[in-house]
Amino acid sequence: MFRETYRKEMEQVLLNERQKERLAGLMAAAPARRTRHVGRTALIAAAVCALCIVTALAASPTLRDILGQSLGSFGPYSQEVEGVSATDQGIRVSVVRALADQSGGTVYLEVQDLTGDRLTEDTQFSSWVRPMAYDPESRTLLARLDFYGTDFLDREEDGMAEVSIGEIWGGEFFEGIPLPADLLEADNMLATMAAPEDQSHGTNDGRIVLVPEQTPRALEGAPWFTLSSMGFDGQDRLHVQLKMQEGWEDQLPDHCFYADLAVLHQCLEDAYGGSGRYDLVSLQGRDYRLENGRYLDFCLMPCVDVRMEDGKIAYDYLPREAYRGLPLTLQGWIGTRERVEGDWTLRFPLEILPERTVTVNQPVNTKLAETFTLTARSASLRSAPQNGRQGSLQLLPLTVYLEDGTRVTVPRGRCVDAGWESGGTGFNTDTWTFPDPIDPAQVTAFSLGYWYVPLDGDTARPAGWLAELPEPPEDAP
Amino acid sequence: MDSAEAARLVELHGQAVYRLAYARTGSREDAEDVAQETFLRLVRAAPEFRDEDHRRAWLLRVAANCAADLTRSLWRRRRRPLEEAEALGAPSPEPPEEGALAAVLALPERYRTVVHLYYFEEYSAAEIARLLGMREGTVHTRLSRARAMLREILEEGDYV
Repeated sequence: MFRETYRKEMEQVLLNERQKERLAGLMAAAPARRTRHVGRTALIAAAVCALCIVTALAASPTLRDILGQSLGSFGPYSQEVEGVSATDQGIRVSVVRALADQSGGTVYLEVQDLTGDRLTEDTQFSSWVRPMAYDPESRTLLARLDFYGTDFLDREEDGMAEVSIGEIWGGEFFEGIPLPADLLEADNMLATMAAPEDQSHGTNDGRIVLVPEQTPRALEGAPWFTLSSMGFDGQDRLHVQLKMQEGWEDQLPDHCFYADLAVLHQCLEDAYGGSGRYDLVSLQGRDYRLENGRYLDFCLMPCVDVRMEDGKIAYDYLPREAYRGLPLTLQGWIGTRERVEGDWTLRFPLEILPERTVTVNQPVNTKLAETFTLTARSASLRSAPQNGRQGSLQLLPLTVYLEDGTRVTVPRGRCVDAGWESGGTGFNTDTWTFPDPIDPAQVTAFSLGYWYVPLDGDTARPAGWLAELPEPPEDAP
Repeated sequence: MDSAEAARLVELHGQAVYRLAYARTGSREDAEDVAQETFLRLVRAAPEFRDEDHRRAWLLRVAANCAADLTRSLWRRRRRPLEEAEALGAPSPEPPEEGALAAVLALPERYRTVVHLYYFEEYSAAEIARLLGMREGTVHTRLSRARAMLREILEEGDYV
């Protein structure tokens, strides 16, 4: 039976004695209640508005305008949500609007600090909620949660949706902080040591970090930290080690600063990718905290080869010489306010836009297109693989043709659902989101790439092929 | 918290937390991170418990949330486009597995927690619902769907 087999296999997944000892050691060393010497803007004591009938968002023309701009022409199709809020730790989170169909949508939230000044324009949440705009006068943040299919928003069979937030942290992004070019010279090999065992990233991790304070420097545009050490270890890996200023040790979250990986990746791709000289296999990084977060060591690991050596996996990294002249900068996010843990769980009935579903049941690109579903917001195509070949159609442009002769093209879709049904048949659901609302009843045909499908009510007529692709909109990426 | 009490709690609940985290994340490294964060939250919050069962349920709930948060972290969100762009990743240090555990790890993440709590920790659907703060109907739905998917993966009709 499954239960017995699962139990037997899971019983082999164990913390070993060293791991247990380390865990107990951390618990014994941890303070019972965290205190932070943030020393930033003093908390502003404010009375809770017990008789607030008008939401702070309604009272903030700026945020109201921004919400309106975000919804754009979909405004009339959105759902106004009232009375759904959760307050914890003096911060109230409310759902204010939603726009959704079965393939996805957006939930808009208002976050207000009722007792302090802990929110910022770049506040981070422990969920897929992200900030949009901040009104310091009302201490209110407009935020959004974009969801796709069943990803990122809990949706239940009865139509209820749930947003759950466990942490809210005000801070700011930083970027473009230049790293010293002279420290990228190949001969800048620095002394290393092993980070403490609790900083391990797994069995393959030697926990190599630079010894602190070997190349101390100020960093332009970074008041929260300075450069402690920057250079190469014995495996040609570049380390960027920061020294946090006093009071900032806990303000840089794990994995939240890195030497602008996007820039580095592009630099390395431009210089070496596919050139035959070096090919990047993967680009990863590891960060380590030393001395209770006083130092953060980030190790860059651009891998150019993976091989087996003495029965173990070995990685070859980009040679030191390849870094010369690269314009590396730092970017990341740092908490500039108190980190607030709490429980903000919001459940509300999510209204779904009406849809028109057309049965297609015709082959396209080694798949069987099964159904095509239209709402004012999006078009979705559900397809099943044929001959065992999986994959989605999301990379193709989709065009809908309307009765009045106009057409709307969306250059690229997104796979919002994939899985398999009983009988072992897989499926993909790909969705293309319209820039402006359409009337599903007015759609007479659709095309996916060159594949053109005329529609007749709730069924599709036999498909054909276009001689040329419809032109995408002018502002398409 | 004194060392003896910390060691006692790790001995009592460590494996349960670690296993749930592993079921949810599929990674021993991440599971260790989650276990660490879970027990540190226990120390920081210092809640009152009726008994050890109550403490266990609290720890499992926090572990489930921490594991979910791990995949939502800023790093993972901003790094995701790079990961998706990489045609070849460095091979995982853990070799692929077969069997029931591998089948559970192949499920979409949202199903793994309820499957593990039901089949390994042997909580009822009602208990899982209370523990995770969701409706009992949702738990039943997820278990039902998970069973259907596991059946397909394991290719045995009445295996579950």
